[in-house]
Amino acid sequence: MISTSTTQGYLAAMMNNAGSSFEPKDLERIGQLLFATAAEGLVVVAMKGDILMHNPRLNAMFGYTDGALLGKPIEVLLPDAVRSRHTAHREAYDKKPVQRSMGIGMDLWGKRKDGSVFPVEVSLNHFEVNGERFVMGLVTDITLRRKAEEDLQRTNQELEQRVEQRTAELRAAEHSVREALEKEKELHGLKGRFVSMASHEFRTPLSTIMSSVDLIGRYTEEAADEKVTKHVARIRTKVREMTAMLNEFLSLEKIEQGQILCSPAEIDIVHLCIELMEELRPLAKPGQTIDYDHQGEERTVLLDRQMLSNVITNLVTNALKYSKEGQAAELRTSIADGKLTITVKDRGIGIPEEDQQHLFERFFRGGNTTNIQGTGLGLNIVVRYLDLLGGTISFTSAPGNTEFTVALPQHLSIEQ
Amino acid sequence: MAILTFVRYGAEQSGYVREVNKPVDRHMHSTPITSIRELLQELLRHRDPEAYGAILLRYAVPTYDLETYFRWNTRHYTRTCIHRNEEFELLVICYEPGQRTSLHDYDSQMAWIHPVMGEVVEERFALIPGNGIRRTSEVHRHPGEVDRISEGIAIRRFTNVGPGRAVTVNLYAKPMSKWRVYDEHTGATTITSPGPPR
Repeated sequence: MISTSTTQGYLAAMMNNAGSSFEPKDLERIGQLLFATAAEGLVVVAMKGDILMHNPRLNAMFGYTDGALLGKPIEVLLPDAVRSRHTAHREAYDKKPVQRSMGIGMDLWGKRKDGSVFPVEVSLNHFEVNGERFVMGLVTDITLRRKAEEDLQRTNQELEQRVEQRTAELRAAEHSVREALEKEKELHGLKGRFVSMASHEFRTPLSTIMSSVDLIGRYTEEAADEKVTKHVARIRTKVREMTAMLNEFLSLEKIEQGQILCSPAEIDIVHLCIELMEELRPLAKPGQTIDYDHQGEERTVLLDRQMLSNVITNLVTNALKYSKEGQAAELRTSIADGKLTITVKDRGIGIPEEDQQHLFERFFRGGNTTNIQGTGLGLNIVVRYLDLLGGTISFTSAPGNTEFTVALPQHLSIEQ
Repeated sequence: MAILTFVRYGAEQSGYVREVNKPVDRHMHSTPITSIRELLQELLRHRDPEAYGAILLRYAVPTYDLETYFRWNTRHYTRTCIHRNEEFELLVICYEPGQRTSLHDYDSQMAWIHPVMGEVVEERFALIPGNGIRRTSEVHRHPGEVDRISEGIAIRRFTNVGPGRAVTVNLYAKPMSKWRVYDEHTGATTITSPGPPR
């Protein structure tokens, strides 16, 4: 309740405010001005519900002319549907009057003279004059705010719908991507299996061809027919090239499938190199030699034989392949300080400087190798094997002088 | 220190001397040797290259005991070292059918080739200075024989000519430090090679 004493206290405080020159009559005038010009509708109602006074804004808000509302029950400003209920609320308020906002949590509506309704917000208070209690209402037209709220709500709903829609789209896209990924994996697996199967299947007839060619070569050895010898040698070379290619595909596929595991075993590096030289010697062009030299008393290493063989084979094969007839290749091994070093040197075409940074990439081939058969997989496989063996590779190259150096631990620990 | 070198053409050779199936010391212990461990013990005990041939003639090791050292590769014959010290080197050589060595020689003072499985042909070649290489003979080697090669140059090639796998046990004293490979095509017959050496 706004007590008279409290109001007077406020007025006194305002008058006593430093610099204030208000007189009591000024305050009364100010009060009248506030009442007349307030943006909210102000209405004073007797306890029985009759409108005793109101400001002009209330008229404007509800569409009444001056004086038309005075003496009318406050319910005239309410929609028909809530009038009877409001009467009960008002009587309850009269019994237990407190300062509060009206209809908390509820939508309140006002009814204009023309019957249209609009949303309002109402604050209630009560006061007493000469022992009689009155209720004062502060009515705010919240049409714009409600509209803004509705707009906001609508916008939020639209946003939520859009988010839901986008989420659904993303889920669908994710599902599609997953499906595509699964399909890709499946295709990749299928491709891998096909490559493995095809490589295996191709190797079998190639092996038979090679055996037959060997036999033909042996049968005609005594006859020494130059043309037969030449063609037998050519068939051998091409079969070896095809077998080498298939082996590279198979090796890569196995590495990619994680099927290759390190199995360290004691290896005499010298005998291993002799074996490999014996195998690779037929790949040499006329006049090409493979010189092998081992440095150091120590000859035993503990490494994976197959991987080590593949590394050396790849490097020596390249040295022969990219060198011309009569150009020697060199293979050097050395063991010192627990490290095996393998060096392969050739006097071939070299690796163009602009290609050197890509040399170990899969399927990469140097710009000067167009006319030389190859898959571009060999050095990539070498690097992958060296990763498994804990080794490194480096090279220097210029036309006529290319040297690859591989460094490996002499003893591969099981953890590696 | 370079202890092993491949060269295709040996410039150092001055002919070769070889002794095959040289009579061994029959007075030596004649009990059969029935395991690789026993064989090594004997070789290590005698430490005398002159005794090695006789020791190998007592070789009666069952295949299963040697199998530990068998390795097979469809692309090339394999060489597996059983034991190596300053005095000798003992190897197991495994050949798939049709596999053969290159034309080669080495610089060990003596060597013994002991076929233990399959049928191996040993071809011998002579270096004709300035005129390439010429095949001089061919010998079929069978299990139980011991082929002794004395120091000097002996250019040879071994081929598994049998229908199955072949294995030889090779003993080198001292261990070889040079291995020379020769191109049979760029020898006396022709100067221009018709293709890769084989």
